Order: sequence, then structure tokens, then C-alpha cells
Amino acid sequence: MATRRTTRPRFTLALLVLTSITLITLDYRSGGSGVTDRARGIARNAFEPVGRGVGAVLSPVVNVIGGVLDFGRIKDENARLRDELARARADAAAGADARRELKTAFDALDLEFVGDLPSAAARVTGGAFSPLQLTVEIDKGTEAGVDKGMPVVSGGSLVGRIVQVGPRRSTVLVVSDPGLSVGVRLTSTGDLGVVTGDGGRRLVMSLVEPKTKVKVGDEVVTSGLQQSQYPPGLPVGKVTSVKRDSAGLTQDVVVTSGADLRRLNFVRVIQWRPQ
Amino acid sequence: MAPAMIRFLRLGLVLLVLLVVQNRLLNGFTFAGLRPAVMLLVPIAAAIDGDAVRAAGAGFASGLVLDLFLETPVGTCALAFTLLGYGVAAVERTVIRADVWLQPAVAGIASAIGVILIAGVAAVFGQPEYARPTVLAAAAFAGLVNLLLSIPVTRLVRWALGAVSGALTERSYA
Repeated sequence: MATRRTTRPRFTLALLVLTSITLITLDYRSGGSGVTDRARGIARNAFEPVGRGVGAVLSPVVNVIGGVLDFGRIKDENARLRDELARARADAAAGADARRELKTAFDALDLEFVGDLPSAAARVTGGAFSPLQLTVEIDKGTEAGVDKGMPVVSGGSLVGRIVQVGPRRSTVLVVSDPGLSVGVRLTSTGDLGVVTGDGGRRLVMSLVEPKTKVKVGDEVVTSGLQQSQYPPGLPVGKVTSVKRDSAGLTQDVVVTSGADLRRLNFVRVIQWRPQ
Repeated sequence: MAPAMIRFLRLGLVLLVLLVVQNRLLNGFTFAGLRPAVMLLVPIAAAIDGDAVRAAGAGFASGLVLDLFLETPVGTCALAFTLLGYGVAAVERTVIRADVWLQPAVAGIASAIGVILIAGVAAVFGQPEYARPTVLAAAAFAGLVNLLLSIPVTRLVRWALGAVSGALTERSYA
């Protein structure tokens, strides 16, 4: 009796572990286009209306509690945004001129200008299901021309990439997720690097040449090199800190996203596919 | 309807409720980018009664459902949750034998271990980027939130799966 009691749990455990490993292997082998991916699509499409309905009921409660908890921060942010808006208005006139010149240069080089790309506005309807993976759900899908792999922006800055799409919903893997890497360029020097999220609020730029002079405040944009997953010139963020190791062999460049990745409400999906 | 079918349907309903809570409610309550992980409480709640088979099964089912909503390979959370459920049940039955008032602490600690376990499984199966130092902060936050949520979720899971004879509830008040 005692033997049976100890054997059955171990047998069950072994069976479930083996099944899990088999599923992982199947998912890897299918390369994101097999049975497991279809199951993902079905589950997310089925969940979407339930989540939307419950979300509509719960959102006033969440907003009130969130507002109370964040009152101080929202007040400070409001003041900062007013200040930024005033400066942005002043810059707009000069910016329009520079934009025209840039577009002419892109046309001359037969390159895509990111400002010309079609896009679809979408509302963020849900957040991540896991504490480790940073995703958001949006309310636009294939019916609005959204497709897997398209870049997503908010406030003009890169937010992430579409990783799963349904008829009326999509999943965006946020740029701060450690599983997403973006090829980038420093606008000040033209040097290239790769930005990866640390799972928190920071983006870390790696593969920067040790001799490159990176300054705090430098703008970082997508590089758009051949076979890039993003169009060139899409703003990613600004450099907020640079640390060089004592030997001068590497430098840790921290980039802060231009979008508030923790509180995304509306985004735009850029209808651009990797060339 | 057969009792097994009733348990299956109830567990499905509980998982749906927890998915909605995670996706639509708890994601609004982040701290420094850290988020709760309520689904981890399913195997833990099943394990708190001390039945390893039930805990591993509930862990596998809840992990598999969660996998369908993540970008990590399907099976990653199923494996992590199975091991977590089995491990907590084994420890609960042989070492801790937690009283009712200790259950939230067990749930909190086990949740933190669960987050690390998911990162570990993801790393072993080809996604080392998820095993990073910030996982510890994510684990601590998830553990703290689950400490608070453990009592209602444990009741929900117990309702779904039915009480185990000689389980903690009876033992604690004996």
C-alpha cells in the first residue's frame, strides 16, 4: 500500500514532465507556425471577448484605485508634460522644415521615410499574463491590416512588435522584454548597436564600439539595416547613462524609451513588413 | 454528470477567472515595472492540501493554459507549474504541515520560487535571456502579492477540485 502511494505521484510527475518537454520540443520544431501556434490563436481569440467584457466592467474600479495610488506621480507628470508641450510647439516649426529636408534626402537615396508609412491606431486592452514576459494586448488585428512582425509605436517612439495576431486583436511584445532585440543607431555619431530590454524599465544598448563617444541625451533610432525587423529612423529613446569599464573594452549604455512603456493606452501599428 | 467532469469544468472556470483577473485587473497594479502572477497560486493552492498528484495535475493544466497566452514555448509554464505543485505538496506533506494561518506565507514563498522556476525552465529550454538578476525582484513582488491573494484563490481552487480527505482544513482544526 505504502509503495503504491509513493509510486503513483512519481509516475504522474514523470508523465506530466515528459508531456511538457514533448510540447516544448514540438513548439520549437514548428518554428511558430504549427499546431501550438494555432492553439495560441484560438485561445486568445476566444479569451478576447470575455476579457473585453470584464475589462469594461472593471476599468472604472482599476482607474480609481490606480489614480489614488498614483496621484502624486500623475500631478508631477502633468506639470512636466505641460512644459514639454510648450517646448514641442516651439520646436514644431523648425522640425517641419528639417523633416521636409530629411524626406527629400530619403527620396534621393530611394529609402523609406518612416513618416510616410501607413499605420493603424489601436487601443491597449490588456496587459501581460506573466511577471517575466512583457506583452500587451491591442484591439486591432488582421481586419485592420495588422500582421505579425509589424512595429508598434506610441508617442512617436518604438513600443514593440506584433507577435501574435487574430482578426480583431493582436499581442505586442514590448521592447523592454528581454526576448526582444532591436538593431539601433546613435543619431549623434551614426554608430550601430543592439538594444535589449532588461525586463524592467531600462533598455540596454550593447555591441557599441569601445571608442564611440556616447553622451547622455543622445537620440537612439532603429538602424533599418538589411533584413532588419524595423524600418530605419524609428525613434527608440534617449541615452540616460553611460558607464565604461576600467579597461575601456566595453561600455554599458542605458537608453530610456521615449514612450511610457508601463502605461500604454493607445498605440499605432506601423504597417510595414521586413523587406 | 461524473465528478471528474465537474472538477474539470470547475477548474476551467477558475482558470478563466484568474486569467481575466491577471490580464485586466492586476496588470493595473504594478510597482517599478513588477507585476503580480496570480496563476502561480493554482498549483500551490492544490498542493497546500498535500496531494501531490492533484497538485501536479492542476499545475500542468494551469501552466498549459497560461502557455497559450505567452510567447515562450508551449510547455514551459506547464513544466514549471507541475514541478512547483509537486514540490510544494511534497514539502507540505513531509516537512511543513502548515496551519491555516501559515498558508499565505507558504503561498508567498512558493510563488517567489515559482517565478524563478519559470525563468529557469525557460533558460534551460533555449531562452537564457529570462534568467536575469531582475527575476529576483519579480519573484519577491509576485510572492508578496500572492501572500495577500492566497486565501481567496485557495478557496476557489478547493471549490474546483474538491477537498482531499485528511486535508489541511480538517487537520488544522482538529
